Formats: sequence, structure tokens, C-alpha cells
Amino acid sequence: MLSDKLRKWLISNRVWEIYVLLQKLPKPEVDLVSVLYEQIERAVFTNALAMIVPWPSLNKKFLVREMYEFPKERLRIKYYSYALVETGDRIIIRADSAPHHERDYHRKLLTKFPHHLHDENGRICSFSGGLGDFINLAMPYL
Amino acid sequence: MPTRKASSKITKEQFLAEAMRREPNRAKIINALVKQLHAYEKKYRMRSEIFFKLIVGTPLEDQEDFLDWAMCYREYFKVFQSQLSEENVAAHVVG
Repeated sequence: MLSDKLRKWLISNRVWEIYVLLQKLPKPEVDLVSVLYEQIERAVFTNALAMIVPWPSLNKKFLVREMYEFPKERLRIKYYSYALVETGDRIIIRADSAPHHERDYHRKLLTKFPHHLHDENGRICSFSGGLGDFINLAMPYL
Repeated sequence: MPTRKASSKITKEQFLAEAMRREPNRAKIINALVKQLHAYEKKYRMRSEIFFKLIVGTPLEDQEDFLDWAMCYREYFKVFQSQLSEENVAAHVVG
């Protein structure tokens, strides 16, 4: 059985990885480190992270949701959803691992099912599943 | 105008040390989750448990609000479950 301390350590390390990846984006208009500490505190109980990185001056926000499991004393992302959203909650792009699509909008099998991207036109595209890759896709919109 | 950050001001060691030092507040987390669930219940005029039974696991789930609602509900149960072993939580019922 995984100890609470080790679980917290694994979650904190994942949150640090997210913090580093987010450095590629414009500086958030919030104290990101404080937000991340709150997320760790929440994830200790829920095994999940649900954070918002806002840029009010750009009318955009970045959503990161991840749910974790801990097989063999390691952290594994069981489920995720990443989204770039603009004012009025219109989704610009979103990626997630919900297993509801097998094929992209060209009817080709997704290269890494169940990972998929909803592009700016709402079309389903193949996606790697990595937050870093999603951030690279989001950067041109920011 | 937002600027791109050249480098982080906090080191990984400092970040992890502070994260490990902090004591999470379970009641605060439950309250935040209940508030979120109630907001969705009000918006869609549906109780969370009904939403979870009807929508989650179906293609309808693949919408931003529904993904968030479903995750919030799972989180709620996870934190609720962890509290059950420690104290009586009869007062914390969603709905």
C-alpha cells in the first residue's frame, strides 16, 4: 500500500513537471506557484488535479485536468483533459483521453487511441497524450 | 501585455520542500467540490448522481462541462471515501 507521503511526493513531482511545461506559455496573470500548491493539497485527497491558468488580458484561459493512479509506487495519468478556452467558455482546442473516438476526421484510426484532440474547428485529430505537445499546439493562439 | 518567462524563480527542491511541508485541509476541499457540483446541478437542472449514471461513459460525456462535472464527481467520491474511515460524514451529502 502506497503511503500518503509517497503519494504526495509523486503528485508534487508531477505538478512540478506541469509548472515547467507551463513556462513556455505567456506568464499567467495569477500567482501560479500558489495555485499549484493548492492543487497538490486537493490532489492528496482526490488523486486529481483541476487547475485554471488565466490570462484575463488575452481573454483566454488554459485548463489542465488530470486524474492519477499509483500502480507499483509510480504515478500514472489515468485520465486527462487539457483545454485552451476563450471568453464565453468557447473551446479553442482541447485534448483528452475519454475513449469515445476511434478515428480522426479523415476516418483514419487514431495513432494513439484513446488520446485525441478536438481542433479549432471541432474536428477529431490524433494526439500523443502529452501535456507538452498540447502546450506546443496551444502556443500559436496565445 | 503578458510576457514570456525566461526562467522559473523557484527551484524544484524549494517547490517540493514547500509542497511536502503544507498540510491540506480536507473540509475546504470538500466544500469547494460540493460548490462546483451544485453549480453544475443548477446549470443543467440535474442531480450529479443522475448525470453520472446517464451521461458518463457515453459519447455525450465528450463536452467540456460534462468532462469537468464527471471528474468533479469522481473527486468528490474519492475525498469522501477517504474521510469515511476517519469520521462521520453524514452532513456532507450532495444534492
